[in-house]
Amino acid sequence: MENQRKRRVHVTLGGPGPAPTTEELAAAGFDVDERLDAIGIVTGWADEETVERLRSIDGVTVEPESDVQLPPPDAPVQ
Amino acid sequence: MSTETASGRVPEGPTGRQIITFAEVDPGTAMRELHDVAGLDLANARDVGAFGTLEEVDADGVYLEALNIAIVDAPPDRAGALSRAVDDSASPILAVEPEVYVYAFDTIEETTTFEDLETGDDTQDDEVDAAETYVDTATYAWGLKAVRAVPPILHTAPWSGTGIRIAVLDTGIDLGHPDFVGRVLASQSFIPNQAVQDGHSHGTHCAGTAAGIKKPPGGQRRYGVAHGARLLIGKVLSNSGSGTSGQILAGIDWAIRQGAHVISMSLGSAVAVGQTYFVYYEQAAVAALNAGSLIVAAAGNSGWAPVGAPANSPSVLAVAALDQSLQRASFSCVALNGGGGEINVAAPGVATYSSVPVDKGSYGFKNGTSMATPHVAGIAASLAQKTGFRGRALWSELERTAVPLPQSAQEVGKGLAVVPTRRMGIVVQPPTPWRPGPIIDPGPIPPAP
Repeated sequence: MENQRKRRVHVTLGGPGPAPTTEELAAAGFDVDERLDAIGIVTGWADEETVERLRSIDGVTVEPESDVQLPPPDAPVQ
Repeated sequence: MSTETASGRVPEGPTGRQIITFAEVDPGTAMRELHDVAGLDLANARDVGAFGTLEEVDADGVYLEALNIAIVDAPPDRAGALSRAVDDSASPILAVEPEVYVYAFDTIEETTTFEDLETGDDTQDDEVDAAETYVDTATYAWGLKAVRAVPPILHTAPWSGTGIRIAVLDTGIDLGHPDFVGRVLASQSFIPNQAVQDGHSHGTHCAGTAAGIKKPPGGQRRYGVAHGARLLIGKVLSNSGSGTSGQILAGIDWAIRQGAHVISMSLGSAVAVGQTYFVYYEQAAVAALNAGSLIVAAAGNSGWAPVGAPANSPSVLAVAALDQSLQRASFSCVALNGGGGEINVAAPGVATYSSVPVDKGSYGFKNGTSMATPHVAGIAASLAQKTGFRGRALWSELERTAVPLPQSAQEVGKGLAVVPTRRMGIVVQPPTPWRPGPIIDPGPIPPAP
């Protein structure tokens, strides 16, 4: 039920200061899936209010996930 | 010219004969072509014998069938017809060059300086013949010739990406394909409940173009650019070809940690005019460059529409697709948005022959900017091996060495990305173009006495 209001977002930790910890993000209500340390991105689920709370953290960018779809294997252009 | 041996000097310079290089055709076709184009009748070297002379067999030249090369004694008026045949794509004649006397370097005083040779060569190297059309041959896919992985005549391509790791983030790979035995260093699936095994064919095709084997065991034509490189296979798209940016980010993260020098991403989503890039893709690409990984991505196949994401990130190298005439393929996206939405380089992406899963026929053709992208990944691997450059330096080198094309930067960026090549170490003078001599008016002819 709760999850239906949540959507998958990517939190980019790109600020000049120290990056927020996974715990800090979780405290803001962010359901963390995975922390990708090599590229400084945390993926997870958040509802609208959580997205606003996350955006108020310094050096954090929140963007929705986007989908990629290749044409079928025998399509003329791939 | 001092070519008299009687004067005590050894001959040097052109011999007066022409060397004609043919595409791979049978000797009969090549000799027939010479007869039709220039009226020259040749003898096959095999029939002339060790002590035979051309006078004895009454021929205008000799054909060396193992090399696909003819050496002919063509009168000047026929040399013109031969030169014109080079420009005719239907003719198997690839090049007509003067035969020269060749010596070991330290046995003769030099009359041609190396500066002369270098300048002549450089100007030639940076030209693309607009009329040239590439075709697959029995030994290589056309794209390899266009990007010089199969080097031009008198050049070698000694850098095949040895020691370089190319990550291909796609639909996986057919791990059972004989051409990839021992080539895949690591693989990982980011698709829930799906193995790395490629159930689509897109990933196997792209991996083949980037780093396919030099001599496919089944006798297939060569289709891989950087046959010395090793592959890291990240499955970020499902067997039905779908994926999410989260899976792609996880794949990039993995590829960096695996030490990928080049990350090839033949994937993306459409972007509207005026739409900016995703911060997460940009941050991932910056992190990759800082770690020494260059991300190359497909511009997209939406035609006259903006470059898609992630290729529109400023720190992702965007690749456009070219057809066999090195024209932008009509489906290839163009630079309509600024701020990263540029095209950086272009590469072959039409009728690209490469590997597909064995259960789908092992080999096949595909079109798309997806096919252009792994060409550039392979080229980047060759450049990385040659120069030792990584990340941003490698990006700059790719753009610097790209061969300009007639079309605008909006369509093809800096031009055709090419593999670094090296001239062979023999002295050959550049061919003299044929042109009509001056017309000299002899004036009024005096009446006969």
